[in-house]
Amino acid sequence: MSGVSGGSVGAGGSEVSGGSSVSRGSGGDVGAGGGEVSGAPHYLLRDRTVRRGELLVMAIVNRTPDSFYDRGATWAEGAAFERVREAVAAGADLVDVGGVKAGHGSPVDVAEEIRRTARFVAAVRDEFPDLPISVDTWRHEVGRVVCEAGADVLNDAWGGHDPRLAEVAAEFGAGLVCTHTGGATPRTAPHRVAYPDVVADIVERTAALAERAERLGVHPRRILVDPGHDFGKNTWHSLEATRRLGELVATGRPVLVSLSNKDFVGETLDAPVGERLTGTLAVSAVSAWLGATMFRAHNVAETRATLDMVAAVRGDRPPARVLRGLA
Amino acid sequence: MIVAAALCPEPPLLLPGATGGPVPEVERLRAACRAAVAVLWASRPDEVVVVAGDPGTAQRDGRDADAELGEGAWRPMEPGAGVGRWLPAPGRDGGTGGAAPVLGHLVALAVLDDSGAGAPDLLRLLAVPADLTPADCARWGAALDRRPGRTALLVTGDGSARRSTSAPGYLDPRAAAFDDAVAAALAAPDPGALAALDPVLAAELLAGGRAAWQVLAGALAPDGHGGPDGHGGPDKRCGPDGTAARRRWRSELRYLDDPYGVRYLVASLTAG
Repeated sequence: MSGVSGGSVGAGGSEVSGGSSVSRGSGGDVGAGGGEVSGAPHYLLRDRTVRRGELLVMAIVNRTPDSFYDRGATWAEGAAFERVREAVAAGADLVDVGGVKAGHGSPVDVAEEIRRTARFVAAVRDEFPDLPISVDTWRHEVGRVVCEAGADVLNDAWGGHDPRLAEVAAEFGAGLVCTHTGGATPRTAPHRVAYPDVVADIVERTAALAERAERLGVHPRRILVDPGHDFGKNTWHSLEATRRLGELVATGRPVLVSLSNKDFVGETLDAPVGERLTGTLAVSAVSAWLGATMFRAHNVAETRATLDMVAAVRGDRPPARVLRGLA
Repeated sequence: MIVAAALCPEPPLLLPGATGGPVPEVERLRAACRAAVAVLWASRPDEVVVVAGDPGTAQRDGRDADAELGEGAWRPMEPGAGVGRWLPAPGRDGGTGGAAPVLGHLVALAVLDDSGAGAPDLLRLLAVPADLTPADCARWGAALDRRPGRTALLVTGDGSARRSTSAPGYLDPRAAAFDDAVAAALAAPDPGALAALDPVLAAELLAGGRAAWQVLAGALAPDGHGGPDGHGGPDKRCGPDGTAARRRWRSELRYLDDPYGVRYLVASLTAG
């Protein structure tokens, strides 16, 4: 039977797709050897102007009893608040508050999601008047209430499933994350998903979501695109999305990557949920090098250090304390 | 005339290289598939038809089964083409050019290749629209049985993907009974019971094997014996001595498990 499909894997293995994207995306303002972050505004976050080359950490704060990584560690409001304080102290640029576990689980209706998130957002806004706050939701009803409570960004991790969420972002002048899910229904797992070209699909669908948001009135510089690792993807798809992240960066929109402790990291290293930090940091470094701007993370201090190191190698950030050989 | 059949699941897991490193549960499944397809080659077939459900093809009305098998339902043999849709990586073909590849065909080719026996030039790939009605499935199966020469079938398909809370489609409490009925029908074998599977329930349970299994049922009992229309009688054939004889099928169930929440089933059938 040899020959039936023997040539299917490895043929043409010398072709490295995306290899040409190991440049710095489309912007010319982060040239090789460029010592400083500069140029036109790349992204607007609350009242902060982010320049191309800056790397931001979005700290995950779950107001859920059942999320996969922390398993309800910050379900209580007090614990969630402590988590915000720690994240800010560890160098988070913003927090991302979520009230619904991404995977299958107990149903959470609109009222319950609002109960979990809105009052908490208002309290965080009170204690940290300048801290940008994102809320991870796909529902426009929730988006409206949290924007009223002080949220700055709506993280639509389910990729426009509720088209009215973008309208709410526009109405409140909030930012929006446009995520690729391959059209998945919220809280479903991928089952035998297939794409002729997964990266082309990511670029096309996130661009369509972003352009629609712009037409509805969301500020173009407040829109992030997210390739949606693990969402509507198997591990091969998520690895390809990382390998060719430069193609999404090249669209010129700031890119958010959500990699933290995800299954594609676990499957790649055969590591259970509690042992995925090293892999998460490695893939974060690769994504930063390829031009991602924002990194959604559980492990804030470790992610901050990883990104600071990459930024120094790129020449976008001076090293903190240089004495070696200089005395 | 159908002389043998093998049933294998069709998860992308069985594509070459899919799991990266070896995974013990998947290797056990592969071994069962190898044993099942060996039965096909042992039947001295003139051709091996791979029958797989195609979720990308919607059913058209008013078809004639034989005509349908002649146009469009047959797919070209392009080994490896399209594997990159499920497993993108440098050097893997994403099949961006032609028609969408059928997952079951790709898995079947991987299984056949893995078995290391047989002849690629005897293979034919048949795509069954995933929503083909039970009556049309029966007609397709009967048309396969009318093909000249000795035809062996490799039928790909799976039971429910909703067997547990960690299954791809989460838990549907109806899944276990549905899958058990399928397993019993294949183990008997009981083509009538396969032909009677409810396509709506199967779709709700994410049981992708339904259409291909019902084509198999039609092939095993081409005169409608136990078929969905209930008009059948025993499959009568004139033997060399001029007597009418109904073929009897022997089934061997070689694998029945759901390591990842999807019911996988491997079996082989031979005419007795």
